[in-house]
Amino acid sequence: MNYKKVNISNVEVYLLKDTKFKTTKIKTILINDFNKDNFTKERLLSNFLSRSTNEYKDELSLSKRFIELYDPSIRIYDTYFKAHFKNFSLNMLNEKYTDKNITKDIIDFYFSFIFNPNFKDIKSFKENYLLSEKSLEVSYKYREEDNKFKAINNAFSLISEEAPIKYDINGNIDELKKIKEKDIIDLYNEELKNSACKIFVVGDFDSDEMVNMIRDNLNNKFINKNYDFSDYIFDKKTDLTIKEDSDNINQSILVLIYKFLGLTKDEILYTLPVFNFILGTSSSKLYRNVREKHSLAYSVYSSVNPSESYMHICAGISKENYEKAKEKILKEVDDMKKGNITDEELSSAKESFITRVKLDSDSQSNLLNLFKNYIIFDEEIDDEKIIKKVKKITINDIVNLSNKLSLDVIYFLRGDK
Amino acid sequence: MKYINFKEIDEKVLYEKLDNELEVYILRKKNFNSETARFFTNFGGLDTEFTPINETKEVKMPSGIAHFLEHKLFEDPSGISAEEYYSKTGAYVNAFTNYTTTCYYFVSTNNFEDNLNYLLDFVQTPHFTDENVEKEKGIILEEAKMCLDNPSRLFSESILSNLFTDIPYNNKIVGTLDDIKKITKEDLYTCYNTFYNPSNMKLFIVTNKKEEDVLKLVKDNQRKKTFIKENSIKRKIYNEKDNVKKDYYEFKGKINENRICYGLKIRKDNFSYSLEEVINSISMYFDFLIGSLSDFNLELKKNKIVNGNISFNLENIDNYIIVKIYAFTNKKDEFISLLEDKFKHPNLNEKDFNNLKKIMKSSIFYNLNTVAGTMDFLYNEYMFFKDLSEETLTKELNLSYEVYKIIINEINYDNKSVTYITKEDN
Repeated sequence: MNYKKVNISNVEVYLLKDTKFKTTKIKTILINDFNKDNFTKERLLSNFLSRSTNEYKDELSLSKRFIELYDPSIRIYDTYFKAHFKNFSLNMLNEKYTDKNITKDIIDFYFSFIFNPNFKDIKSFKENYLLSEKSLEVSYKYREEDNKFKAINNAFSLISEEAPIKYDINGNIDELKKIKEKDIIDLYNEELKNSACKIFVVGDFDSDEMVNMIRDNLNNKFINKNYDFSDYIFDKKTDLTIKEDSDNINQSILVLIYKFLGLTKDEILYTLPVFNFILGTSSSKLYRNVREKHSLAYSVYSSVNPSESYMHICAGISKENYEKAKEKILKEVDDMKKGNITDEELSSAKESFITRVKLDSDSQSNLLNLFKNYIIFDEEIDDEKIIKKVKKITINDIVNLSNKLSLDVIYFLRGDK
Repeated sequence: MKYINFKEIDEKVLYEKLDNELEVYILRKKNFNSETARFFTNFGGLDTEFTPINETKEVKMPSGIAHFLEHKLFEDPSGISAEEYYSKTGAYVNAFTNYTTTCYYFVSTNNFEDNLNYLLDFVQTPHFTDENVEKEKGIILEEAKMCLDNPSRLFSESILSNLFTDIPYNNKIVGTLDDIKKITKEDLYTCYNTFYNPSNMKLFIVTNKKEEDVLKLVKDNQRKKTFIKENSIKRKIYNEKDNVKKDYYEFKGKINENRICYGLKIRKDNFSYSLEEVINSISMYFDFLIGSLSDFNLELKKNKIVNGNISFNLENIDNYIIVKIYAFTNKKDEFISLLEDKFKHPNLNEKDFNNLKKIMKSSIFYNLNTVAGTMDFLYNEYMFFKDLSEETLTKELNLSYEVYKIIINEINYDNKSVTYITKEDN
């Protein structure tokens, strides 16, 4: 992957030019320390920042500006991996499809969401704050209607380690009620002062012009700070937590959470995705045996989040099948540990991972995520090298990784309808 | 064989209707790694009453039969599932069923020719046994229970059911628990033989290969197979009235925030313009009325009539355009009254119209930025207009303000149905 790296005012800017895209996508990430007390506040701040700027003080004037600029998309959201990442993403049409010389206006407009928030005008600040608060409240209530979300969230709250995923990283309604207007201004000021910043650009653009436009907006606003993400490893087994709740629903949900002990960087980046393709995606062991062979579930899957060193398995089942489904799932995980994996399973999983790498290069969003993940792990981004490493993975590598699994939580949301 | 040239968006599509009447559409995306195909039949959750091919008597099938058939086609006579086949080369395969269609698709980055052949083969090789049908029931019953626990799904199902007087939108796409248990292998073969004839199917492809080469592959595949000639499928004819079944329906659900859907049933042939112009005008108008450009949307939020954004969508069903406006609200009467007042005073202006056109064109380019987005664009365009042609897109993109104004003033708001879902009592 032929990308260019430039340093501007303490900010690393990564530029990847590809003429096949009709748009250019930019992601600016502010990285700062993770604080479990700030999840809801961060979400509220991101929602508020998306709603107005110092120049365009309400949704209506903002919408009009968006349309003048051919409706670029600007999203502000939070992700976590040991640290907190505030993501500002922009997707804009190339000038071939818009007015000439509009790109500079779009980029200036985009950076105004980061550097010129609508904090000064008290009336519109209060109005936007209330709208953000209400929209967040509705989204919290809405997601609680999803039984699978509820079951997985409840299960993760029981894990043994103090990882961000233990907490509801999107925040919750109780915390929302405690937040004061001034809190989000303080949080913003604090973060802008103390954040490291990285910028990624993917699309069809002129590199020199792009760098100049970014430089004009950055203007020495960020400090030089580096985060080390390499030691995010759990090393001790902990006792298994088992919990059951019940609800007036038709389908029961079984969640098993595993912790990985002592993962290496290569395991996180390469072996773990292959492991998951074998165990828990479509046509995997869980799919074939729990769903197809025993007809116990419509939905059964495993999901690994490389940044968290945790895996969860989730199955929607009938309550009377709880013991049988649990036993079958545990057996599949046990088979992974014992090496009961066929060459065909390994080969299919490797092909699936390679396909994903190739698919990533067709999507600007996925490319930006790939950039971010590999930079976090200080790994060179090169499709060919990734594919070579994946091809070398053996059944033994999968067995070694499987034996680093430690069952942490079994959670059952029993449907009593 | 002909090319459909979408000059305005810089893309072209190869089209051919094969000898067996399968219609094929191919768009080339050079320089992209991924490729995808959708193979679909006009057979969905509504199609439970029809006259089977080569028979004379109409039959009634259990609800959920189209969806059940979708599940069963993934299994071939050798016992290998389509998922297993595709996973060998890292490709992804899936399918979905809606009220009118069942669609099978794959996405891959290599072995495209084999993957496309396999898509055509697994969908065109039914293999149903008593044993594999019974086994599937356990899986589908779990899916049906999952749907019953999803209040948003129950809400959207009831909206269409209340808008239509005779077309059976009360059929559940996945089927009721009782109906799923009744389905037999004979039912599946009857439906398969009737609805999976190439004359009732379409194939859409987005590839990085030359269009003509891909078309040849499809032709070679289809030439090896024989199908019964089917003149036309005799579905039950519904006597749909212009009015709605229920103008108001309220029910309780396991939700945390009350929500409303204001549905409009607008007869298409009451307008004096083309379907493309009518649909686009109505779509742009509701975007103008309640989208982000509208002060109405902002006022409703500021005055706490609604919580969060209002949204809308449009469907082209039978003789009608269906508009559904959604909002979270605890003040349904105020919401309805303010909305209906807005309908009476459209307050159109050319500047907003031109802005809305700009957004519409931009959104097409954003879609065409990926292979998946391009397939979505082609498929949705076809499903909406039942056609894919230069004229359709040209009419959409070149809509004039004068025509727009006339169409908006011709909208009949009489046939409406409001569905309101409220929190269950604890």
